[in-house]
Amino acid sequence: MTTWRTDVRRLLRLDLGRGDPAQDVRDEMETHLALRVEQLVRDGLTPAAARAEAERLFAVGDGTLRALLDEARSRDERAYRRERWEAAWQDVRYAARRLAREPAITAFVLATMALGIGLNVSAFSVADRVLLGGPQHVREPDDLVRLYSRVDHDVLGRELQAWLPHPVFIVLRDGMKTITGMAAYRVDDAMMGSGASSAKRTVARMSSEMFGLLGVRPARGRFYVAAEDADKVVVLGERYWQSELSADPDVIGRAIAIDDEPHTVVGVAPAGFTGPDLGRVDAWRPISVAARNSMNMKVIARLRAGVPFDAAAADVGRLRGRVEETLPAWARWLRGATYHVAPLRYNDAGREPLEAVMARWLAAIAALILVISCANVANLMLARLAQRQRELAVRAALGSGRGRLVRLLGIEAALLAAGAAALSLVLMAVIEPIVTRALFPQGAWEFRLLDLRIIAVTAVIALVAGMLVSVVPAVRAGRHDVVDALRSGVRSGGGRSPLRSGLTVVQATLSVVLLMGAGLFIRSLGRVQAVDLGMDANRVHVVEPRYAAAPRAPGESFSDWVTRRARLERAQYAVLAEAARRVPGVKRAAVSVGVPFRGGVTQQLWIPGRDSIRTESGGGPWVTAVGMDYFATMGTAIRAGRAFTESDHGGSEAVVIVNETMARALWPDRPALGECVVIQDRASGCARVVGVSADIHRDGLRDQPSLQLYVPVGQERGFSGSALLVRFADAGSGTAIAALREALTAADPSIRSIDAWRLADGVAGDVRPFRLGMMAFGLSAALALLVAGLGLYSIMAHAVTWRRHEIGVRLALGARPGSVAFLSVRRGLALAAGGMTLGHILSIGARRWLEPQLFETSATDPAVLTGVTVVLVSVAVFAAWWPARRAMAVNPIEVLRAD
Amino acid sequence: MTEPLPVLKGTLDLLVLKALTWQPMHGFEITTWLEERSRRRLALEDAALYQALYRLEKRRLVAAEWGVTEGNRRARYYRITPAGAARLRQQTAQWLRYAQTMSDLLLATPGGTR
Repeated sequence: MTTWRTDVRRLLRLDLGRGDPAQDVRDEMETHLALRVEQLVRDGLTPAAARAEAERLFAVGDGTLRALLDEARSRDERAYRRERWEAAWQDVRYAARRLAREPAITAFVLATMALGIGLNVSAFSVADRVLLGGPQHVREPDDLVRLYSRVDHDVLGRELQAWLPHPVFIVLRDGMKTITGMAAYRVDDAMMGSGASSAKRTVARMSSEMFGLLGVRPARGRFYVAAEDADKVVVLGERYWQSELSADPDVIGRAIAIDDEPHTVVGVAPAGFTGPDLGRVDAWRPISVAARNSMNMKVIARLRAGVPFDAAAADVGRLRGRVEETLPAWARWLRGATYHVAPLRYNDAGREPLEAVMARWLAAIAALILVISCANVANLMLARLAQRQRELAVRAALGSGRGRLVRLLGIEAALLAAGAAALSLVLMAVIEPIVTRALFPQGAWEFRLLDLRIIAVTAVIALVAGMLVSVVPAVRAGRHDVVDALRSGVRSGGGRSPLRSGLTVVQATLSVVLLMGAGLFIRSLGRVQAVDLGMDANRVHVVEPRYAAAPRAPGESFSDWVTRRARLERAQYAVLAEAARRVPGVKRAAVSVGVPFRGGVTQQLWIPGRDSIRTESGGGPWVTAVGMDYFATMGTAIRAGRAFTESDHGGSEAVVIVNETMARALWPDRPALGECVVIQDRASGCARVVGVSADIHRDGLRDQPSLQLYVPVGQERGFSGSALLVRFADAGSGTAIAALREALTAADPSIRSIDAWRLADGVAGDVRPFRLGMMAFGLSAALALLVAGLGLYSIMAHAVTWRRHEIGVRLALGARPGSVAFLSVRRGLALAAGGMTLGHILSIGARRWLEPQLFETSATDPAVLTGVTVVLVSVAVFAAWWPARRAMAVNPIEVLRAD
Repeated sequence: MTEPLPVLKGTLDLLVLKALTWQPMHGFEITTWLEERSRRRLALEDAALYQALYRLEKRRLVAAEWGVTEGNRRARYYRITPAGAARLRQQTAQWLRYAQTMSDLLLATPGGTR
């Protein structure tokens, strides 16, 4: 009677429900006894006797029964569990088969979800480093605080600043009661290595207590100790040790030159250790005695366990009087500063650093993209659900409850989420370094993919994504009236849902906003790179050798010493310029006292017959002393007159070359050539203007026009510090620079180390924000576009499925397939247009905020607007056209016959 | 008729599996099958049979399903699984060797060299 149903249910793998094992055993025994009684009666026994005999033969007793019951119960338990597992496994296989049947869509969904998850895990790992976990290898970073001073000053304002004089550090360290320790450090540039292979590196001075305070252990050797605070010892960064010393296992005890002084290596820090900050550090050395007395340091303290932040703030605040009492000589310098604490992650100005703000934004954008991509995947699954409406209706009619349907969808979502999570871990290996390097180029922490926390976070995010994906279709599937669906097929029911349309418009809007951002930054970057710096910044390298010190000889007067040194420097650089010119790949070389992007020297200027001279917003007049061939080397044009020649030197007639701005500002009504200027020393005579040069950006990309004048090397007064400018035939390859270094050290063995940098590096910091903006916006825009395209696709696919019947009728009535497809594409374009409008309104609204971030680019740049429109419309057309193909392929006969 | 032999420990499972190779049966059918085939020479305890069946089911050597008897009674039908059949083959071979060895030993006579 009920068996056929059981069989069908089993066939469809529906729940069989769970029986009562005790009742089963009793039933089975009863049948047995009854049959036995029948047998015995047939053999001639009376029914009563037969019953007694049957029971005797069965050996019915309490013990037997219980044993049977136990056996049955455990058997039943196992069978039930097995059945559940089998059912679940069947569901998984069923879901996997269904996903495999549409490989393109499944792959697309997996890719979108994996990107979404990967982006979120990247955001987490960055936020973990920047906001939560502190620098790598730092134990319990929440208990660490930075110390700040604040001077309330009319002019300088009330900014917190992280720099404290070393003696103040000592007073605070000895005075604070709420801390277990305090340590000081500062990070600077220094030359590491010697001779041709030397290079500028990031070297920290750090008090020995810092290692213990942070809780870091050396990877090799040991850290230096308090007794070595004045010694020339060094702990190397792991990356420096790897790349510069080829991970030399015998590095301990070796001597490494830092600023030309040999330091003994005592240890190597663990990989990823960056000290209290997040930037890469190549070496740590103790705070020398000289530094102790004068230098400003940054200071870190570890709070005693359980001490709240406010207590520490009050504690250090109280020490103001003590500092002033103990250091009366510093009173003028300290100007009544007060002392404060802030969390470790705060920057030198006592505020959340840019990185932390960006990490929050990144996390927010990543979460938004994940949510939207999940909504889209849900939509897509919903669309596919509609295609299965009949199957589901049949299942439901056979008693497959809502729970079962939800479970099926849930399993599909779980499979997708698990696949996406696995894929995202692979993607992470690619995404993470890009994200980190793009947003935090100075960050030096090591990212470990197979970190337990990362895997746990991936799993949690994937779980959330899976739930988001399964919840919407499940609710809708549950709500749908299955009987109706069964009765009418897929003809009825609304294909348009305002929720879905709204979601698609929101996605399109987000894509437009992000695309606009990316476009504007690309445009800015293009403009930045097209800026004429007035010099060939890509081909010119600034080469700065360091020589052994030339101390004052006994009995030598100060001015004699200065003169001797200047003469020595001039001779040295003449040799270098000559040597450089002979290096293959070098086109020109020139000496210059003062180089762009390095500040500069301004001097007093008089023009006979005038009381004052007009200066420009960029200040000046800036004075640079340049050698022969300077303008040709730099690639700076001479607009009028001549460049300096060999016959311009310290002993010849005083001459100057002025830049165009200066020529225009000082002699607006006549040519500057031949005019007279007096520089710095009023008593000195006229310097004759012999040339007018093109303006250069001497300070950076957003340079203001300034007065600039050049004098021949040897005629400068009151400043010194030469550099060699070398122009390469091309951008200056690594081997050409190495050859140059070799040639220079060979030409003058007294060179201790050489710093060399490309002039273009001087504006790299100015270019970086645009590159960064382009990367950040471009990455999120690409993802958002992908996600929006998927959303549009799913909604159109959904619509085509719902309207199959209608399309069939239209085609049967003679509509051309093309016009049917157009219906679908038109709807896609309408949604895209909605997003476009909203996106543009938002972009215009954000104009005031956006434009200062851009470089000479309007927030409503027409080229960007056009580009964004083209991209969005293409994506919309493509996403709508794909399902439309299916609409065109509808066979009207088939559709109409199906009813 | 001689007194029925007690069923040796461990042999009941084997006998049940053997019985089920004929066709799926419910408990009482198995009992009668064993009784008739053994010409009632074995003393079978019905309760022990069911314990054996449950045990075999737990080990997945037999599988059970509810069905209806000819007399329209609800009964549990057991059938042998592939694993059960394999076990039966292996155990049968072992038993036959054992029985052969036993009879050889017990029938051996002094001086006999068989």
